[in-house]
Amino acid sequence: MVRPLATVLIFTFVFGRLAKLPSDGAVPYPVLVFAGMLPWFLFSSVLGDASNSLVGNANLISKVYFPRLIVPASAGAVAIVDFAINLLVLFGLQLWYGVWPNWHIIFLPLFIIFAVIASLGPALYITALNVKYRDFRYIIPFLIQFGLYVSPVGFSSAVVPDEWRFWYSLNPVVGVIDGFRWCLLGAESQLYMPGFLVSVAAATFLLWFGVSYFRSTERTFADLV
Amino acid sequence: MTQNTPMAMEETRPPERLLILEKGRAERNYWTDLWHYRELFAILAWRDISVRTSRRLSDWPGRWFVRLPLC
Repeated sequence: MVRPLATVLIFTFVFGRLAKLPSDGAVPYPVLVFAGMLPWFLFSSVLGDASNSLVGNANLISKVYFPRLIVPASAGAVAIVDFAINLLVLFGLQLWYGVWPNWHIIFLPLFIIFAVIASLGPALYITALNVKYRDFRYIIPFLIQFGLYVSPVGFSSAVVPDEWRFWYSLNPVVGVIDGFRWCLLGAESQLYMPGFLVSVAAATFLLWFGVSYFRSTERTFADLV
Repeated sequence: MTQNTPMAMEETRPPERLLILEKGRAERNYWTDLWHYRELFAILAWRDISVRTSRRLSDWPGRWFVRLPLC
Protein backbone atom coordinates (compact mmCIF):
# COMPACT_ATOMS: atom_id res chain seq x y z
CA MET A 1 0.00 0.00 0.00
CA VAL A 2 2.92 2.31 0.68
CA ARG A 3 4.61 1.55 -2.62
CA PRO A 4 1.80 2.75 -4.96
CA LEU A 5 1.13 5.82 -2.83
CA ALA A 6 4.81 6.78 -2.82
CA THR A 7 5.01 6.26 -6.59
CA VAL A 8 1.90 8.38 -7.12
CA LEU A 9 3.42 11.12 -5.00
CA ILE A 10 6.65 11.14 -7.02
CA PHE A 11 4.89 10.94 -10.39
CA THR A 12 2.49 13.74 -9.46
CA PHE A 13 5.43 15.90 -8.49
CA VAL A 14 7.63 15.11 -11.49
CA PHE A 15 5.04 14.90 -14.29
CA GLY A 16 2.30 17.10 -12.86
CA ARG A 17 4.26 19.86 -11.14
CA LEU A 18 7.70 19.97 -12.74
CA ALA A 19 6.84 18.93 -16.30
CA LYS A 20 3.34 20.52 -16.03
CA LEU A 21 1.69 17.86 -18.19
CA PRO A 22 -2.08 18.28 -18.58
CA SER A 23 -4.48 15.93 -16.82
CA ASP A 24 -7.62 14.43 -18.38
CA GLY A 25 -10.02 17.37 -18.15
CA ALA A 26 -10.36 18.54 -14.57
CA VAL A 27 -9.25 15.31 -12.90
CA PRO A 28 -6.72 15.97 -10.11
CA TYR A 29 -3.31 14.67 -11.13
CA PRO A 30 -2.85 12.18 -8.23
CA VAL A 31 -6.13 10.47 -9.13
CA LEU A 32 -5.09 10.28 -12.78
CA VAL A 33 -1.76 8.72 -11.82
CA PHE A 34 -3.31 6.27 -9.38
CA ALA A 35 -5.89 5.11 -11.92
CA GLY A 36 -3.00 4.34 -14.27
CA MET A 37 -0.83 2.88 -11.53
CA LEU A 38 -3.50 0.35 -10.59
CA PRO A 39 -3.43 -1.75 -13.78
CA TRP A 40 0.30 -1.18 -14.11
CA PHE A 41 0.93 -2.75 -10.70
CA LEU A 42 -1.26 -5.68 -11.70
CA PHE A 43 0.75 -6.08 -14.89
CA SER A 44 4.14 -5.79 -13.26
CA SER A 45 3.37 -8.10 -10.35
CA VAL A 46 1.94 -10.78 -12.67
CA LEU A 47 5.07 -10.46 -14.79
CA GLY A 48 7.44 -10.53 -11.84
CA ASP A 49 5.74 -13.25 -9.79
CA ALA A 50 4.86 -15.54 -12.67
CA SER A 51 8.32 -15.46 -14.15
CA ASN A 52 9.84 -16.74 -10.91
CA SER A 53 7.00 -19.11 -10.08
CA LEU A 54 8.24 -22.15 -11.99
CA VAL A 55 11.76 -21.85 -10.64
CA GLY A 56 10.35 -21.29 -7.15
CA ASN A 57 8.18 -24.39 -7.35
CA ALA A 58 10.95 -26.53 -8.83
CA ASN A 59 10.41 -29.24 -6.20
CA LEU A 60 6.80 -29.71 -7.20
CA ILE A 61 7.45 -29.62 -10.93
CA SER A 62 10.27 -32.12 -10.97
CA LYS A 63 8.24 -34.71 -9.02
CA VAL A 64 4.67 -34.89 -10.35
CA TYR A 65 2.87 -34.27 -13.60
CA PHE A 66 0.26 -31.55 -13.89
CA PRO A 67 -0.31 -28.84 -16.52
CA ARG A 68 2.46 -26.37 -15.74
CA LEU A 69 0.26 -23.47 -16.80
CA ILE A 70 -1.32 -23.65 -13.35
CA VAL A 71 1.77 -22.34 -11.58
CA PRO A 72 2.18 -18.98 -13.36
CA ALA A 73 -1.61 -18.59 -13.51
CA SER A 74 -1.82 -18.87 -9.72
CA ALA A 75 0.72 -16.06 -9.48
CA GLY A 76 -1.79 -14.04 -11.47
CA ALA A 77 -4.49 -14.80 -8.91
CA VAL A 78 -2.25 -13.50 -6.14
CA ALA A 79 -1.72 -10.27 -8.04
CA ILE A 80 -5.49 -9.78 -8.27
CA VAL A 81 -5.75 -9.79 -4.47
CA ASP A 82 -3.20 -6.99 -4.26
CA PHE A 83 -5.07 -5.23 -7.02
CA ALA A 84 -8.30 -5.36 -5.02
CA ILE A 85 -6.60 -3.71 -2.04
CA ASN A 86 -5.19 -0.97 -4.27
CA LEU A 87 -8.63 -0.45 -5.80
CA LEU A 88 -9.97 0.35 -2.33
CA VAL A 89 -7.16 2.89 -1.88
CA LEU A 90 -8.11 4.47 -5.20
CA PHE A 91 -11.74 4.76 -4.12
CA GLY A 92 -10.52 6.46 -0.95
CA LEU A 93 -8.46 8.87 -3.01
CA GLN A 94 -11.42 9.59 -5.29
CA LEU A 95 -13.58 10.23 -2.26
CA TRP A 96 -10.98 12.65 -0.95
CA TYR A 97 -10.75 14.59 -4.23
CA GLY A 98 -14.45 14.26 -5.01
CA VAL A 99 -13.98 12.56 -8.40
CA TRP A 100 -17.02 10.40 -9.01
CA PRO A 101 -17.15 7.63 -11.57
CA ASN A 102 -20.20 7.67 -13.84
CA TRP A 103 -22.05 4.72 -15.39
CA HIS A 104 -18.85 3.66 -17.17
CA ILE A 105 -17.84 1.89 -13.97
CA ILE A 106 -20.06 -1.09 -14.83
CA PHE A 107 -17.44 -2.03 -17.44
CA LEU A 108 -14.70 -2.24 -14.80
CA PRO A 109 -14.86 -6.07 -14.46
CA LEU A 110 -14.36 -6.37 -18.22
CA PHE A 111 -11.31 -4.16 -18.05
CA ILE A 112 -9.92 -6.15 -15.13
CA ILE A 113 -10.21 -9.30 -17.27
CA PHE A 114 -8.55 -7.43 -20.13
CA ALA A 115 -5.73 -6.39 -17.79
CA VAL A 116 -5.19 -10.00 -16.71
CA ILE A 117 -5.18 -11.19 -20.34
CA ALA A 118 -2.75 -8.46 -21.33
CA SER A 119 -0.38 -9.40 -18.51
CA LEU A 120 -0.64 -13.19 -18.79
CA GLY A 121 0.54 -13.26 -22.41
CA PRO A 122 3.96 -11.68 -21.91
CA ALA A 123 4.21 -13.29 -18.46
CA LEU A 124 3.84 -16.83 -19.83
CA TYR A 125 6.40 -16.16 -22.54
CA ILE A 126 8.92 -14.78 -20.06
CA THR A 127 8.17 -17.59 -17.58
CA ALA A 128 9.00 -20.21 -20.19
CA LEU A 129 12.15 -18.33 -21.19
CA ASN A 130 13.17 -17.94 -17.57
CA VAL A 131 13.23 -21.71 -17.07
CA LYS A 132 15.49 -22.29 -20.01
CA TYR A 133 17.68 -19.22 -19.82
CA ARG A 134 18.02 -18.66 -16.12
CA ASP A 135 19.83 -15.35 -16.49
CA PHE A 136 16.62 -13.90 -17.84
CA ARG A 137 15.51 -13.02 -14.33
CA TYR A 138 18.06 -10.23 -14.23
CA ILE A 139 16.40 -8.66 -17.25
CA ILE A 140 12.84 -8.77 -15.86
CA PRO A 141 13.17 -5.88 -13.34
CA PHE A 142 14.73 -3.82 -16.11
CA LEU A 143 11.85 -4.65 -18.46
CA ILE A 144 9.32 -3.71 -15.79
CA GLN A 145 11.01 -0.39 -15.11
CA PHE A 146 11.27 0.30 -18.82
CA GLY A 147 7.58 -0.50 -19.29
CA LEU A 148 6.59 1.88 -16.52
CA TYR A 149 7.86 4.83 -18.56
CA VAL A 150 6.73 3.51 -21.94
CA SER A 151 3.17 3.11 -20.66
CA PRO A 152 1.03 6.12 -19.81
CA VAL A 153 1.19 5.64 -16.04
CA GLY A 154 2.55 9.02 -15.00
CA PHE A 155 0.81 10.98 -17.75
CA SER A 156 -2.41 10.93 -19.74
CA SER A 157 -2.14 9.16 -23.11
CA ALA A 158 -3.84 12.24 -24.62
CA VAL A 159 -0.40 13.88 -24.33
CA VAL A 160 0.92 11.58 -27.07
CA PRO A 161 0.77 13.31 -30.50
CA ASP A 162 -2.20 12.18 -32.57
CA GLU A 163 -0.17 10.70 -35.43
CA TRP A 164 1.70 8.36 -33.03
CA ARG A 165 -1.22 7.46 -30.87
CA PHE A 166 -2.40 4.56 -32.98
CA TRP A 167 1.04 2.93 -33.01
CA TYR A 168 1.58 3.77 -29.37
CA SER A 169 -1.46 1.60 -28.60
CA LEU A 170 0.36 -1.48 -29.87
CA ASN A 171 1.56 -1.64 -26.29
CA PRO A 172 -1.44 -3.46 -24.75
CA VAL A 173 -0.90 -1.73 -21.40
CA VAL A 174 -1.83 1.57 -23.07
CA GLY A 175 -5.30 0.22 -23.82
CA VAL A 176 -5.64 -1.22 -20.34
CA ILE A 177 -4.71 2.03 -18.62
CA ASP A 178 -6.89 4.15 -20.92
CA GLY A 179 -9.78 1.79 -20.27
CA PHE A 180 -9.33 2.01 -16.52
CA ARG A 181 -9.26 5.79 -16.62
CA TRP A 182 -12.35 5.83 -18.82
CA CYS A 183 -14.15 3.58 -16.30
CA LEU A 184 -13.08 5.26 -13.12
CA LEU A 185 -12.63 8.95 -13.76
CA GLY A 186 -16.12 9.81 -14.94
CA ALA A 187 -16.84 11.86 -18.05
CA GLU A 188 -13.49 13.68 -17.99
CA SER A 189 -11.54 10.82 -19.54
CA GLN A 190 -12.10 9.97 -23.21
CA LEU A 191 -11.45 6.56 -24.74
CA TYR A 192 -9.56 6.66 -28.06
CA MET A 193 -11.39 3.80 -29.77
CA PRO A 194 -9.06 2.77 -32.67
CA GLY A 195 -6.11 2.68 -30.28
CA PHE A 196 -8.08 0.69 -27.77
CA LEU A 197 -9.03 -1.92 -30.36
CA VAL A 198 -5.39 -2.19 -31.42
CA SER A 199 -4.46 -2.80 -27.77
CA VAL A 200 -7.10 -5.53 -27.47
CA ALA A 201 -5.78 -7.18 -30.63
CA ALA A 202 -2.18 -6.92 -29.41
CA ALA A 203 -3.09 -8.38 -26.02
CA THR A 204 -4.98 -11.28 -27.60
CA PHE A 205 -2.10 -12.02 -29.94
CA LEU A 206 0.39 -11.92 -27.07
CA LEU A 207 -1.79 -14.28 -25.02
CA TRP A 208 -2.00 -16.74 -27.90
CA PHE A 209 1.73 -16.43 -28.50
CA GLY A 210 2.58 -16.79 -24.80
CA VAL A 211 0.34 -19.82 -24.30
CA SER A 212 1.58 -21.60 -27.41
CA TYR A 213 5.24 -20.95 -26.59
CA PHE A 214 4.63 -22.10 -23.03
CA ARG A 215 2.94 -25.28 -24.22
CA SER A 216 5.65 -26.09 -26.71
CA THR A 217 8.40 -25.82 -24.10
CA GLU A 218 6.39 -27.19 -21.18
CA ARG A 219 7.51 -30.79 -21.63
CA THR A 220 11.12 -29.91 -20.98
CA PHE A 221 10.50 -27.90 -17.78
CA ALA A 222 10.94 -30.83 -15.42
CA ASP A 223 14.38 -31.56 -16.87
CA LEU A 224 15.55 -27.98 -16.92
CA VAL A 225 14.21 -26.48 -13.74
CA MET B 1 -19.38 -60.88 3.85
CA THR B 2 -16.95 -59.55 1.35
CA GLN B 3 -19.27 -56.64 0.70
CA ASN B 4 -18.09 -54.74 3.76
CA THR B 5 -14.40 -55.00 3.13
CA PRO B 6 -12.78 -51.82 1.84
CA MET B 7 -11.82 -53.60 -1.37
CA ALA B 8 -15.44 -54.21 -2.33
CA MET B 9 -16.45 -50.64 -1.48
CA GLU B 10 -13.73 -49.40 -3.77
CA GLU B 11 -15.11 -51.45 -6.64
CA THR B 12 -18.70 -50.23 -6.34
CA ARG B 13 -17.69 -46.58 -6.56
CA PRO B 14 -17.15 -45.31 -10.11
CA PRO B 15 -13.54 -44.31 -10.68
CA GLU B 16 -13.02 -40.60 -10.21
CA ARG B 17 -10.54 -40.33 -13.02
CA LEU B 18 -8.71 -42.90 -15.08
CA LEU B 19 -5.08 -42.07 -15.65
CA ILE B 20 -4.09 -43.45 -19.03
CA LEU B 21 -0.55 -43.01 -20.21
CA GLU B 22 -0.12 -42.99 -23.96
CA LYS B 23 1.66 -40.93 -26.53
CA GLY B 24 0.09 -37.58 -27.35
CA ARG B 25 -2.64 -37.91 -24.74
CA ALA B 26 -1.45 -35.02 -22.55
CA GLU B 27 -1.43 -32.72 -25.58
CA ARG B 28 -4.92 -33.68 -26.71
CA ASN B 29 -6.51 -33.34 -23.27
CA TYR B 30 -4.58 -30.23 -22.29
CA TRP B 31 -7.48 -27.95 -21.43
CA THR B 32 -9.58 -30.62 -19.69
CA ASP B 33 -6.50 -31.54 -17.66
CA LEU B 34 -6.10 -27.91 -16.77
CA TRP B 35 -9.68 -27.79 -15.53
CA HIS B 36 -9.19 -31.03 -13.64
CA TYR B 37 -6.27 -29.58 -11.69
CA ARG B 38 -8.16 -26.41 -10.73
CA GLU B 39 -7.88 -27.22 -7.03
CA LEU B 40 -4.12 -27.19 -7.28
CA PHE B 41 -4.46 -23.71 -8.76
CA ALA B 42 -6.47 -22.58 -5.73
CA ILE B 43 -4.05 -24.20 -3.30
CA LEU B 44 -0.99 -22.58 -4.87
CA ALA B 45 -2.67 -19.18 -4.97
CA TRP B 46 -3.93 -19.46 -1.41
CA ARG B 47 -0.50 -20.52 -0.16
CA ASP B 48 1.13 -17.41 -1.63
CA ILE B 49 -1.63 -15.09 -0.43
CA SER B 50 -1.61 -16.43 3.13
CA VAL B 51 2.18 -16.30 3.39
CA ARG B 52 2.20 -12.71 2.20
CA THR B 53 -0.64 -11.44 4.36
CA SER B 54 0.60 -13.14 7.52
CA ARG B 55 4.04 -11.68 6.96
CA ARG B 56 2.57 -8.25 6.40
CA LEU B 57 0.29 -8.36 9.41
CA SER B 58 2.96 -9.71 11.76
CA ASP B 59 5.22 -6.83 10.81
CA TRP B 60 2.64 -4.11 10.56
CA PRO B 61 3.77 -1.15 9.07
CA GLY B 62 7.41 -2.08 8.92
CA ARG B 63 8.21 -2.35 12.61
CA TRP B 64 11.61 -3.78 11.71
CA PHE B 65 12.46 -0.45 10.17
CA VAL B 66 12.03 1.32 13.50
CA ARG B 67 13.22 -1.47 15.74
CA LEU B 68 16.42 -2.29 13.91
CA PRO B 69 18.31 0.95 14.67
CA LEU B 70 17.11 0.89 18.27
CA CYS B 71 18.40 -2.58 19.09
